[in-house]
Amino acid sequence: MRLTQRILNLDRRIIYLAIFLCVLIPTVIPIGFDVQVTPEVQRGYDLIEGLREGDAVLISVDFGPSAIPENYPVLVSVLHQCFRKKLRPILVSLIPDGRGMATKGLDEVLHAVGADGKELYPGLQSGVDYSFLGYKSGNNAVIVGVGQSFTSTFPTDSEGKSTTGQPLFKQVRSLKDVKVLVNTASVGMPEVWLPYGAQKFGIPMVVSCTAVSTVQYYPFYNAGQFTGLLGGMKGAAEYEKLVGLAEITGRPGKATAGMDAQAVSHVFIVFAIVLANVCFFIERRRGTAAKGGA
Amino acid sequence: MSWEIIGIWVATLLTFGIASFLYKDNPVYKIAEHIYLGVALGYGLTIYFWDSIKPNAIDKVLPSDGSAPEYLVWIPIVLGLFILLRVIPSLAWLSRWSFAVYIGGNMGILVPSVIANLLMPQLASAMRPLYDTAQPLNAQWGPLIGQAVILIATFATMIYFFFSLEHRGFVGKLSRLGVLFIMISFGAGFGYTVMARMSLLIGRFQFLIIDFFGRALGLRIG
Repeated sequence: MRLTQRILNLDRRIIYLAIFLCVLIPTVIPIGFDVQVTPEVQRGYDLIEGLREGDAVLISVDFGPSAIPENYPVLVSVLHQCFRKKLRPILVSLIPDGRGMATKGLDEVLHAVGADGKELYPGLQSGVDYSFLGYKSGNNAVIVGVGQSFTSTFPTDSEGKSTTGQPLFKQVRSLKDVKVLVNTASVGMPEVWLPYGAQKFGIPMVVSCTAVSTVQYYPFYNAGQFTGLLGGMKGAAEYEKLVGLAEITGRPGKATAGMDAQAVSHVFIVFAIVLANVCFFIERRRGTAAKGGA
Repeated sequence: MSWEIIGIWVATLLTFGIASFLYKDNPVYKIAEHIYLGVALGYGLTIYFWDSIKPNAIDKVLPSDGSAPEYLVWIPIVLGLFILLRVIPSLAWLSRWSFAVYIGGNMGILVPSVIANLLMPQLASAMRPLYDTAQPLNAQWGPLIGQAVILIATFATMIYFFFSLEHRGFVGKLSRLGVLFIMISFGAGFGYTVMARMSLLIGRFQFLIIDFFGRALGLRIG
């Protein structure tokens, strides 16, 4: 069998092994590739950075464990940015899995310690400085609801405490009082938040989506409907860089740490695609195109 | 050993169980897959009950804090129960009332919002002027080319899906151009999909290195 035929009929498990090594080696021995910030991410960051102390930011946590590598670093970075700037984040979730993610992210940032070992945000109180309202089913119905009132749509917060009377919701009564809407989503929630929330009430929107969804959201960014667009782990790494997560916590964020493996594995995949195509065309020219392939 | 460490061990074993499918299908993979499905369903149902059904239905009709019951909430509760009656053939017709209310209400909210806030802004974006006449043209070549590509790509792609004209001659060439743009879009989508799948793998590696080797076994790697 010729070399080109061998390559075309390569056992797929050898490809898996190569990918395994492409991810393992840069994760264990970091290369330290620089992360270039794109305008889509910069604009989202600048939007939140431009808010004033006490402004409310609504963060809809609509991703589950399967999107942790792509969406979770953004959630953590945005929360750090909010608490550093003394903004007041209000977290909601429109998918059941998002509840666990929001709880984990909030817990991590509230108890975060800096490089000097001191607590970063001491004394923050739920219902005053931030709030997590939990999960609510109904998608657009929930958004229409919070457009009228937070407390009637979410009578209790995630801890089961009544939201009526909480100082935060005396000032931030509905979506109209929110300054920026951030949607960290692994499902199609940005398309739900956009017409019923952001566009309807004129709230600028920043979207953190999985890489798979990024292509479909670029038209919304180009049209100016999304102010910021953070696509996949790359977008998350850029946001971590802008927020300065490494300086704040003393260690690089998980998205930034994952970009070395991302770059190496991409190089390998591009190489494999080119090699397989070259071999395919060589074999076709010989008139013996291999059946199947890697 | 704390519950957290036990959780990390369980997660690690399940990760290897799922990953074993890459070699070939096996009973360990099946067990891990079934545990995943069961836990995901149970978790979802529990969250759904405590975050949605209890505060929005049960607590409203049977308040425990001494407030007056909200009798109007019985209407959506009854309509919701009607949907469950689909499993009883003789009473299945009652579910149509629920669906009528659900679809009617949803359409009323959806149609004007989607047209005004999704369709029209997207159309306006596709039909933007090619360049700003108030600015010198030589300073706008980048945006001008970008907007022209969007315009041509939108038109050519729409022609590809326009079947009232035979795709021959000029229309055929435009249609071919549309296919080209669709292929470029698929290529971009594929590239992003590769990045997404790699991200998942990287996430698992980070879990194994940081949480399993680092926290559960106390080893420092990397």
